[in-house]
Amino acid sequence: MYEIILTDSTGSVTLPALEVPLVLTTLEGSSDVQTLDFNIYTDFITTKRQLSHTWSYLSEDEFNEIKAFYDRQFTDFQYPRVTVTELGITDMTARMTLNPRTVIDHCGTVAGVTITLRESKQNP
Amino acid sequence: MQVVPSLFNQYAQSNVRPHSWGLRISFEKLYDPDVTFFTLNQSVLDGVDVLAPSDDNPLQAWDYYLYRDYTDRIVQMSWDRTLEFPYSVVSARADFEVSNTDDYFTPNGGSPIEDYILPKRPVRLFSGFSNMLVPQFVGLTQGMPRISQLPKTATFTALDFLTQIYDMKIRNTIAMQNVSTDEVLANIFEQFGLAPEQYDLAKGRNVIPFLFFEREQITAGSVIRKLMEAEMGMLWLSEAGIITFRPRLEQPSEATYFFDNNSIISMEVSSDDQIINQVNFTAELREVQEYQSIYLKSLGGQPNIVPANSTYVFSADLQDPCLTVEEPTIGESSSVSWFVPRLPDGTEVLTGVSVDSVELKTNSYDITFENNNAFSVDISELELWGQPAKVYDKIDRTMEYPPSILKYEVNPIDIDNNFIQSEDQVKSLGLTILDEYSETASILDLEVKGNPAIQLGDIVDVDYRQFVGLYRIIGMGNNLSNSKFTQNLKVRRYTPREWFTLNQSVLNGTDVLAP
Repeated sequence: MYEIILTDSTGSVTLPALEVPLVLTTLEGSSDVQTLDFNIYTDFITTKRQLSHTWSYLSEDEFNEIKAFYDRQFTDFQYPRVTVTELGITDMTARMTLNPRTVIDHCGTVAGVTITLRESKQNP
Repeated sequence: MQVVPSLFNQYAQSNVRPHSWGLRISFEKLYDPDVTFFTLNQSVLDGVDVLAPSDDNPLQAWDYYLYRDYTDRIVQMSWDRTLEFPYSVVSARADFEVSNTDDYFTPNGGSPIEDYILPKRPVRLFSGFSNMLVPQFVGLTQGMPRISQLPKTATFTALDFLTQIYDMKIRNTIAMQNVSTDEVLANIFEQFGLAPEQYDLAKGRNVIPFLFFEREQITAGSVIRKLMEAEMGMLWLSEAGIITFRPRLEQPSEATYFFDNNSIISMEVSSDDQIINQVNFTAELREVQEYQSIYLKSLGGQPNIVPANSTYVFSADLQDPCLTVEEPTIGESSSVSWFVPRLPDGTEVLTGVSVDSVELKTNSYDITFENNNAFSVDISELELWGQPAKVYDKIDRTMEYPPSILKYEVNPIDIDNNFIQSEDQVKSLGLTILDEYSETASILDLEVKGNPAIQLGDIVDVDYRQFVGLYRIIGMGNNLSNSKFTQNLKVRRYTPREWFTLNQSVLNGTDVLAP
């Protein structure tokens, strides 16, 4: 069963049950350059992984737990680490972004919660 | 072109090119005397040993600094080299932006290196492919870093060491006779503490009968630029940090790299303002004279009093700069320098007065007299003997190439340079300039599928539409940012010459008499 585990200074948390799709993208640190004969070549530096997922609905508590990881990036000055065992991702340091909080009822339910986790090096 | 493994060039020409780079800075400016070149099977990877840029390169003074690696912090970096015409010297400059999220490079920001965030920190830039890096720049940072808060970055500018020397004043007076360009350059570099292993100077063609520079009066750059204008070779600090001088006729005849429409990204033809079809030379010719009297102060002039138990500096005005001046001794004599001190009543003083020190300047000879007597004396008479360098003739000569003037009108350049001291030198230099600069479409600006091993001065073979042939790189700019390596080259059309060699070349053959 696919699951996302986030880890930071406070510990590890398994995020709410995943829906589909779970998107894993390979980001290219590269640049395609066109020469005068209309061919191209590629200046390549490296590749990084990016994981994104959208939950249709999350309860207020579930959302707050995710949001807390997002917020701690700016208090710990460190990115969280991600593990998705089934995708071969273990403790991947990643910059986390979160889409706007869309509250749809008086219980605090949040709709369309998308997190993006972009692999990057953890600086000291 | 820098010496690199064949795999390096394979990467440079492949479809997907795995770029790599490096940045090292010595903020603390500490020396590491243990640095040696990397020895296979002995040195430790990422240890202190330096990868030798080529087999015959000596270890450079720059290599002894303890550098820290800041490669992981690089956001972008650029570096360029430009040949200054007509001075034939190369200046290199680097700009690099580094991540500063932790205020590591912010002065007074609590950084562990905050005491060392100062101007003139040694910097080395590297670029290459995969795990193969070649040196690109050696220099010193200029001023303080520019700190940006959003994004949190620090930006540094650095100039190569040779460019730094250009702005410094000559430290010791130079008086030399019959010296070639390389000998003068060596003298200047020595003044700035450079060891002979730090420069590689080929024998210059230009021989200067006499030159004189007074210390602290003129910058090294103004001397070197004029020297190189008269020589018209090339002087540069190589990517590996060796100051290199090559005379104008010592040029390669074969291309080291090839560019066609599969490796050129864009091309522009420079305007014709680079055409030179008339060269106007002016110079004063000086010659060192025989040992002779160069200054005479007779009785009855302005008194020059040396107080009791004290010193006094007398400045003797010279009509011409001198190669040597003999230090005067007490008591009138013939054919040597001498002085006579007297009491106010005219009595000659024979003891207790001596010359403490002397200094030869461009237009004067300063003598510090010391008086150990308990009474004042007047230096009433003085004669100096030495070797003056007198102007015996002037050069005022124009050389031109009429076919080019007919096509493009007159495009002159004025060269007023006293290091040009013979008619032969005028002819040689004039012919060389006209040979290289009198035709149009000779300069191209290319953006190419770059190779960090390419060097300024390299001959490259270009094959694109009507631009076919050999070109010499006279300027280059490199940039690494946003996952892209950009290399811009300014190239000038190049005609290889096979210079006529006695007992080897064939009369009426293709070899050309050297100008």
